[in-house]
Amino acid sequence: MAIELALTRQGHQVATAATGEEALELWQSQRPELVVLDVMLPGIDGFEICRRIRRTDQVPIILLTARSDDIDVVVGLESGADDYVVKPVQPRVLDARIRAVLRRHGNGVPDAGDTAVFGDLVVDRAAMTVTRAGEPISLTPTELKLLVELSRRPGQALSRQQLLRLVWDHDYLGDSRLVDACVQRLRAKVELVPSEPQLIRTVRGIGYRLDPPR
Amino acid sequence: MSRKSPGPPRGGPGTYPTVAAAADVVGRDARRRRSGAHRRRLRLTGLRPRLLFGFAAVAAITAAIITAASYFLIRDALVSRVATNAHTQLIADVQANGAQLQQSGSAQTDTTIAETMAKNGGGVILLITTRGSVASDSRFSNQDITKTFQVAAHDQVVQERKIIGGTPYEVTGTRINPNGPEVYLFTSLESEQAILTELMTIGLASGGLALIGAGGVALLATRNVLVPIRRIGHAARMLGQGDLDVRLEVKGTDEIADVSRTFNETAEALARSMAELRAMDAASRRFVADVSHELRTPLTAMTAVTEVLEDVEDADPTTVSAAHLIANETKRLARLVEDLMEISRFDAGTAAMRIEYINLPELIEATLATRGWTNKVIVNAPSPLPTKIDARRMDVVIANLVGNALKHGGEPVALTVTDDGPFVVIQVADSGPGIPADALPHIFDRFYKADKARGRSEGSGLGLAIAFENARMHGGQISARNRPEGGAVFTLRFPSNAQGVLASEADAVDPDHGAGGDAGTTDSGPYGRTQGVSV
Repeated sequence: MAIELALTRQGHQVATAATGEEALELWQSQRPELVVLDVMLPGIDGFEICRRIRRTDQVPIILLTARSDDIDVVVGLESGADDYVVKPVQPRVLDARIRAVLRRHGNGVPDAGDTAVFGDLVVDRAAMTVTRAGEPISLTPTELKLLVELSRRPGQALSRQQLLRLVWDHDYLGDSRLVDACVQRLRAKVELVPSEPQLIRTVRGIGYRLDPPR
Repeated sequence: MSRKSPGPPRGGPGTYPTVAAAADVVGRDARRRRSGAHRRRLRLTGLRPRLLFGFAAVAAITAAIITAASYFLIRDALVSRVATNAHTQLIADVQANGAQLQQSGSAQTDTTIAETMAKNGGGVILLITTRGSVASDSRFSNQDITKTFQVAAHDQVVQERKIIGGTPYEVTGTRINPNGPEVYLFTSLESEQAILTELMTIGLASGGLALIGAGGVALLATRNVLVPIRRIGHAARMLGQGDLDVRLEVKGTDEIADVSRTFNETAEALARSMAELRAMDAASRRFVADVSHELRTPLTAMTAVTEVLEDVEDADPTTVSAAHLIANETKRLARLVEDLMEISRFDAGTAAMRIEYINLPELIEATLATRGWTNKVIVNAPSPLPTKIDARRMDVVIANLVGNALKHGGEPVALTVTDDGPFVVIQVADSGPGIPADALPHIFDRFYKADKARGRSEGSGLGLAIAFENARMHGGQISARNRPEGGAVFTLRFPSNAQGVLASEADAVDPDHGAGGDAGTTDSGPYGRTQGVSV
């Protein structure tokens, strides 16, 4: 209720659901631009809703979690959330996160005629599409943005902090697990063998790097 | 890139308390070891030597008395038997050969008589007549008879003991008639001497055996006493060191068993009251945690809408100020509840560390920038300074120290970072009035406010306590002191390689690690953006 009021004041159109079941119905009927999901819900919990939405849709999802439940963050990010906000929610923070995620969704300023090729993976930064051997790959806005940022600096390691700033618009103290979870999801979609990544490499102690395959 | 700090000296005195504390710990350890060695050393006044000495003395005295008594008794018995025999023998000899001797007229005959007498009697016969003295054994002569003995033998049979040529003899003598020949019988006491010597040997040997036996018994007895005493002592020490589960085995019904039983009951009672205290403590902590949690739900809703109140501008001034007051106090309350929950997480031990590779100066810059303090703090830090820390917790620590300095100390606040080998030292110095001496020991206590007059300050009163706990979680510590030139300085010292699960390595498996020298090709590392801090 309070969040609805605060978000409405920030100029968003808000539809709220009190339970997990209601939330799924609401999502089906309203098709929102973005979902803000509390982990603690009566009925189906936030993680399950996140997973169910992700099965068919790449709509941005922001989780609300309690800081004391650190595991919630990990599980939530693994189930496909784009970002999370720790309760108690400061409306301005939530609004900033929402706008950052929506910016990603809105694709920002496309790079003119810019296409990067990594083996059979083609990242078209103008059309904002990714194809593997000609087959389009469906990525969430956050995953796409991460891949685009990595593809702009091929062979260059980007620290988790840098990626947080570039992709999530977080400040310096953002949670690097956002990066790790998103990289895992991205690998699952773009790598031939996700457990042996050839494209998105881990640079130990630093972050990640996109390599052309050897 | 870092600007030089004009004020406080770097490093130096700030590291003092830590070093001193470490030395103190070492000293205490050494003392404990020394006292332990002292306890184990054999003391001459200890129970064991005392008992050993006592038992040995008893055994020695007993053996000596028994040996001496039997020696004298047996010696007397043997000697008197020999004397009686000699007496009888001499009388028999005199009766048998007396007449012949009186008629003898030459020394030759005397010798023959002496030899005959000696043959019968088993001894040596010495005859003293007017013609002189003859003996059945040439080794004996009248020189062996003292004058007094000779005089005494004139009218009776007399006896005396005498050592001749190293052998003891019972000398029996008499005169056959007044002015007649004198007869002396030398009976050897050699065999009796041998018996007595053997007795002495046996006595000494049995005395020695008794000593050894007594020693053994004493050791056994002391062992039986000392082992339980030592066990009780050890248990008492363990109890003193906080091991409340220590119990003694109660054996038998003696005094030691009594002591053990008493000890066990005491330990039991102590453990029970400690457990009660702990339970009460845990209950009160849980209560705080629960209360905070329950308060948070409505507060979350309230803080979410405080902006509505802050935007109230068109009502009458009283309403506007009331709305702003409520908005501000609600935020403060929310902060307080958050701090309380953080503290209760520390108390419950559920606070988790998320260690990451962090360039510390970059973090400090971000911490200051986020709170709009960049222009109020003079930072002096090496660049870069890679550390492995929990970024959120370190941010809280630095923010609390700097916020405290800005609030209570006043500008300019100087933040100095020193790379001290495996440790990092951060000093936050202000230019305020310093901390009152009586407040210094309590500065990190919860809800402690040095300035009582400023009871209703903005802070929760938990800031420094939370900073302290966060530093502790990093394996570090914070100390506070006043600078001689004025102002307070807080020194945070922590290992640059904090122990804990490294977040990036724990969350993400590292499948392509070691794929071939790729880490070296990175020109722009994690700290590629800003080298150092410029404020």
